[in-house]
Amino acid sequence: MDGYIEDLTGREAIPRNCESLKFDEPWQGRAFGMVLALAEAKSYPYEDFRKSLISTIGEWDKTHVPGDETWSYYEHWLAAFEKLVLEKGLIDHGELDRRTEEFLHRTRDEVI
Amino acid sequence: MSGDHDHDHDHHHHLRESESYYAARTKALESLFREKGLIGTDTVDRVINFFEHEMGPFNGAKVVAKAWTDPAFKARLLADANMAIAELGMRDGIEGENLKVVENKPGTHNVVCCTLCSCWPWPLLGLPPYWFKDPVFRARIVREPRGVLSDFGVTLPEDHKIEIWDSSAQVRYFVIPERPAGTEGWSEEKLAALVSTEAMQGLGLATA
Repeated sequence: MDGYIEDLTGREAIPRNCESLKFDEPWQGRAFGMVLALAEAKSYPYEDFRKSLISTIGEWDKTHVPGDETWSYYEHWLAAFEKLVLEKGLIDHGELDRRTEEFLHRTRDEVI
Repeated sequence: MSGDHDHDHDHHHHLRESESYYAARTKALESLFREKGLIGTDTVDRVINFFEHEMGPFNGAKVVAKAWTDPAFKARLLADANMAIAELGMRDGIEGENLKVVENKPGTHNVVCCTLCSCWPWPLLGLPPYWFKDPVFRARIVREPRGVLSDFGVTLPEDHKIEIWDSSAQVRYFVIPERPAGTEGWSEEKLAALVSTEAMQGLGLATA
């Protein structure tokens, strides 16, 4: 079956299956885990996240053709999550930006 | 990210171009949630671990093998999937609560997709594989299911009916593939090994 899939390239390429939990980059796993952890902790109903994800992906679908190579599932996942936690007031925009800068410029000494 | 045309977007545009932006953003979120006591330091690890080891396609494969060997169980599974999987001691997880099982039969093949996002029966199948989340797949499966099936290596006779089931928040679908010929008398364990994630979403066949 892999052979069939490898014959398709470019826009028609079907991304390869992965049988188990795999993330392309570690942050994707953290983003995935956080969404579920906070839902389990009842910080928001999981359904609210799902709606946020649908609307984020829906917006993208409206302005992009299927197969657009800039598609990144977990970027949408993260955007939907961020939008939700800001809306719910769990954190505020300013502190999130400040802390992002700290991690980006390695001025924060915290291991995540 | 799209639709976000306010000044914040422009202000942070330089950050977003950097690949490490997402890593830093995710760390910042987790750091803040820990600080506010909304999650513990090991919470995210525990969630990931749970999805890696307790949920996964091995659960779904067990359900299929049981349905192949126990007609009464299969009838209960088709009638009320949630009740039936609880009999096997499978846990409910986030998502997967409203499960509907459909059965492939000679002449009728079922395929599952989610055109809205990527609803997926997580407790039975673990994390969705990449293809399920891909917009090309989501768009093509409804338009030309035979083409997509053939890309997955599945060619069905022309007179076979293909049913497409669109998973949503209300219902997530799960397919019992046809039991391969020549597997009479096989144990459930041996049968379960024949069942792939693709087969349980109708994008593959179980073969012995």
